[in-house]
Formats: sequence, structure tokens, C-alpha cells
Amino acid sequence: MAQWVPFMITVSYMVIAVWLGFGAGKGRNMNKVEEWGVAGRSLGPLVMYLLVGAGGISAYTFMGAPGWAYSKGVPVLYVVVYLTFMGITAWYLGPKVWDLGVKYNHVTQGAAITHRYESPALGALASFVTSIGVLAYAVLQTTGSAYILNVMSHGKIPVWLGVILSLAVISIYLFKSGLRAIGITNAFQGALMFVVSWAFGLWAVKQFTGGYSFAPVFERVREDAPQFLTLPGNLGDMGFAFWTTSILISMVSVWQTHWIQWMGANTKKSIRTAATMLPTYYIVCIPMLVVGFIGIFVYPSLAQADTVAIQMAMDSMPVVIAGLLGAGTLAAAMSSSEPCIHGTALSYSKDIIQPIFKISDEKAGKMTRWLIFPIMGLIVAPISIMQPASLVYILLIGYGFIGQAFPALVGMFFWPRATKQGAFWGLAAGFVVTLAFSVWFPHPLGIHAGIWGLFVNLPIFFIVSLLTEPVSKKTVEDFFPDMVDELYEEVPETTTKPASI
Amino acid sequence: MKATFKTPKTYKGWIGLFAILTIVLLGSWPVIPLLNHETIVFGMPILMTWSVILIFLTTGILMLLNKMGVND
Repeated sequence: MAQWVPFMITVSYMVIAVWLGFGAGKGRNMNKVEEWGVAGRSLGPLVMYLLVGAGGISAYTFMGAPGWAYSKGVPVLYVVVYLTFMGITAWYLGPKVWDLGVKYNHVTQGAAITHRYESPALGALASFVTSIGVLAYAVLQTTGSAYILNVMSHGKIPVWLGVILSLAVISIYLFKSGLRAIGITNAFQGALMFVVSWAFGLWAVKQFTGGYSFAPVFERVREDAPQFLTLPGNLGDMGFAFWTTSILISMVSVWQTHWIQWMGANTKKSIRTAATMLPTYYIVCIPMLVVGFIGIFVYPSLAQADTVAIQMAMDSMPVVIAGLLGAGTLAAAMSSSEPCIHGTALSYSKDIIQPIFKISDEKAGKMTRWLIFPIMGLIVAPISIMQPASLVYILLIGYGFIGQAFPALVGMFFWPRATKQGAFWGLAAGFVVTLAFSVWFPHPLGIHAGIWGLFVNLPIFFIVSLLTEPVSKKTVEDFFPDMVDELYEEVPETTTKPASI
Repeated sequence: MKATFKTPKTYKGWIGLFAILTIVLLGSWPVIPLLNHETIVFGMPILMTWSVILIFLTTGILMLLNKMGVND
């Protein structure tokens, strides 16, 4: 009986998530895009903090990150640093994005791009290509959910069934309550992950060292395997250049999901407060990394590094802790995949289907929430079950696009002279370079492929923009109201009169 | 139309920009090599301790910038 306790705890988590998420939309008209899509712009700073924080913590934190600590050592800390710095991006851009959204009724990144560059085609293209990375990420998280259900059920729930179960659970509350459900379930998931990570980490330390201090763990690592404590790490693949450029590209990659989450805030101040506190949430990563370091000694030859935490939980932890880890990992996976599915449905509806078929806001609102079913049933579920070898390439391609959209955002917030042609050709060239340097010639000179992409993207963006017609004065006024006088200032012509004889 | 970039308009804005660039540098190339030792500080490898410090430093700086009214 005791062997089923972890499974029961994991299933209990799913039931609570459905209950919370289903109730979140009570009394609201979810056929309106503003309600289903951005929660009627009603989320306060605490929910925003947990919404964005938990969204940033994926199954990677509970499986991949301890796996990296186990196989590479301190290079994994770049994750903690980039998550922290994403707080700065949210702090700076979030309030600006929210302001524009309220003023011009944007709910998606694509809508803002359409407006800024006066090009529905560019908005639709941005929506579609960024959705590739977002959906690939949802697939990875769904695979993680299925894996956890498989392990916790001692193999009784096969992967295909795990995929269907986890997506079915998400679909119930996502359809019913939209971003409100994501907000409330992420708040619950965020709190659960925090508790589980520390409970599991401290338990592992106690078991390994007899106390609660991390010091004996790292003293042992320093004695036996000091290469784990410095860059480039045990596998020698994280130099200073790769560390720095991986952080920078992550910092400038603004995901569609983040954009939509910012739109859900009730005020600008709520986003600013949540973003200010956001880095503190990522303390959640630290105990799980310590677990990975402990694994170096407990499992000297584990075949799959990513399984180190789960393996330790199932082998030596009390059933309740193992169950909490299962629930925490499932929470991490679900809290990351549900915003991706929600954001893609919203973006496809508002940025692609509505402009192409010229349907009304009312019809688009009704259709948006139904789109989660084809997205889950025709894209996320089959790919999660088949797990094609090309998934990693799809992911790289998708991430490549998200990072290469950065110049388009520069044009939105910092450079009024940017044009749609500049944004398009920069994005296209940057994407090709990122793809080549991700797949065929990985990260030349130890510099992240995405940064190589930006090296090419940014000059093309600037040059092509300067060679093409700027957007109308009206649009410039919308995005840069305080710069209009300066930008359109008449330059007095200096005419040289011929000298009279 | 001029091709001007939007830059901070006040000294507070410039302080904000400088503070943010400083935090980013503290977590990247120029500073990380200086901390790349096997030293253990507060029970953790120095890079891990530094990552935790960066978390609180970032939040602290952002709180300060909020108080100054930067990015309002």
C-alpha cells in the first residue's frame, strides 16, 4: 500500500489544480477575449509574482537542472542568473507593454507588432513563427508530465496515457477559466514547488551528511571532483563566453506567454512590483541543484542524468517526500505548458485567423478558447507521444525565432525609425544564422548561436530600416508620444545665394 | 524623419540604465572569471553563493529604482 502513496499524492495535486482552476472563472463571461485571454486585466501583484515565477520554473528545474548539476556541476547556475535577469526585462518592458495594451486594446505580441509596423502580415508571421518554440516547449513539458505519472504509477500509466491525462486536466480548467485559471493554479503550483524543493533538498542533505548544512556536500565535491565547482564544468563545455551569451540571449528573448501574462495585471504597478520581487522566487532552484551534487556520490554511473532527483526520491526518501516531489515536478511541467497552450490559442485567433477571415471581436472571442483543443489534440499530444528525434531541432528553431524578434521590440520601444522591412529581413537573416550555428556548426568560438544571429540581425535591421519608408506619424505618436516634436523637427534649409557681382 | 534613439531623459533614467548594466556585468563575463574558484563560501561553491547574492541584489536595485521613480 505504501508504494502507492507517492502516486496518490501526485493525483491529489491534479484534483486540487482542477478544482482551483475550474472555479477561477466563475461568474465571468469567458467568451470575451479580454476575460479568457487576459483575465479582464485583474491580477494583483502577488498572483502576478507567482504566475510569472512558476511559469519560469519548468520540469527542467526538477529534472534537468539537478541532472546538469550531476553531470556538469556549477555551469547549471547560469539558469539561476538568467531567470533572475529576466526579472529585469519584465520590470522594464512589462509596464510599457501593459500601457500599450490598455490604450490600444492589444492582447498579444503579434497585435503590438501589427500596430507598430503597420503590417498585419508581419504580426501574423511573428505570431506563427514564435508559436513553434512555444509549442515545442509545451511538448517537452507534457512529456515531462507523462514521465512523472509513469514513474509514480510504477509503470502502470504508459506515456501515451500520461500525455492524455495531463492535457485533459489542463484543458478542463483552461477552457473554463482561461488566464484566471493559469493565475490561480500557477499560484498554487508556485507555492507547492517552493515547499517541495526545499523539503526535498534539505531531506537529501540530512540523509547524506547527517545535518542540514550544504557545506559537507560541497567539501566532499571539492575533495573528490573539484572540476564540478568551476567553469567550464565537469564536461568542459561551459566557458565564460558561452555562460555570458546564453544569459544575454535568454534575457532578450521575450516570449509570447510573458507578454500575455503582463497584460493580465490590474495595474502597471502590479507588474513592476511582481517583477521587482520575481528574482527571489528563483531561490527555489538552489536545493534541487544541491540534490544533483549529492547524486555525484550516490549514483556514480547513472545512465540518464535527468533522472537523478526522481531516482533518489524513489530509492531512499520517505513515501510522502517522494510523492511531494512527483506532485512538485508535475506542477512545474503543467505550470509551464498551460501558458504556452493558452498563449498560442489566443495568438492564432487574434493575430492570424481574425485578420485573415475578417471576423468580429465577438466571434473571435468565442472561438479562441475552443482552439486549445485542436492545439492539444493535433499538435501537442501526438508529438509528445511520438517524441520525434527532430524535436530538439524544432525546439532550437523555435527558440531561435524568439530571440531574433528582439530587434523588432527595439523598434517598438527605442527606435521610431524602424520599419517592417528592416524587422522582417533582420529576423530572417538572424534566424538562418541561429539555425546554422545551432544545428550544423554549434556555437562557434563558444558564443551562443542566438547571439551570432543578433550580430547579423541587428545591422540588417538598422540598414534596411534606414533605406525604407518609415511608418506614419500617427503610429510614431502612438508609440513615442514624447519624441514626436524632436523627430519631425524641421531642419532649416541653408541656401547659398550666388554672390552678386 | 530623424533616426534618433529613445534615451533616458533625466539623470534618474541614466542612473537606472547604469545600475541595470552593472547588474548584468556582475553576472557575466568580466566578473564571473574572478569568482571561478573552488572556494566554498557560506557552505556553497562561490559561484552558487554569488548567484544567490545576485538574486537579492537585483531585487534590491529594482526596489531602489522604483523608489526613485525610474521607469514610471
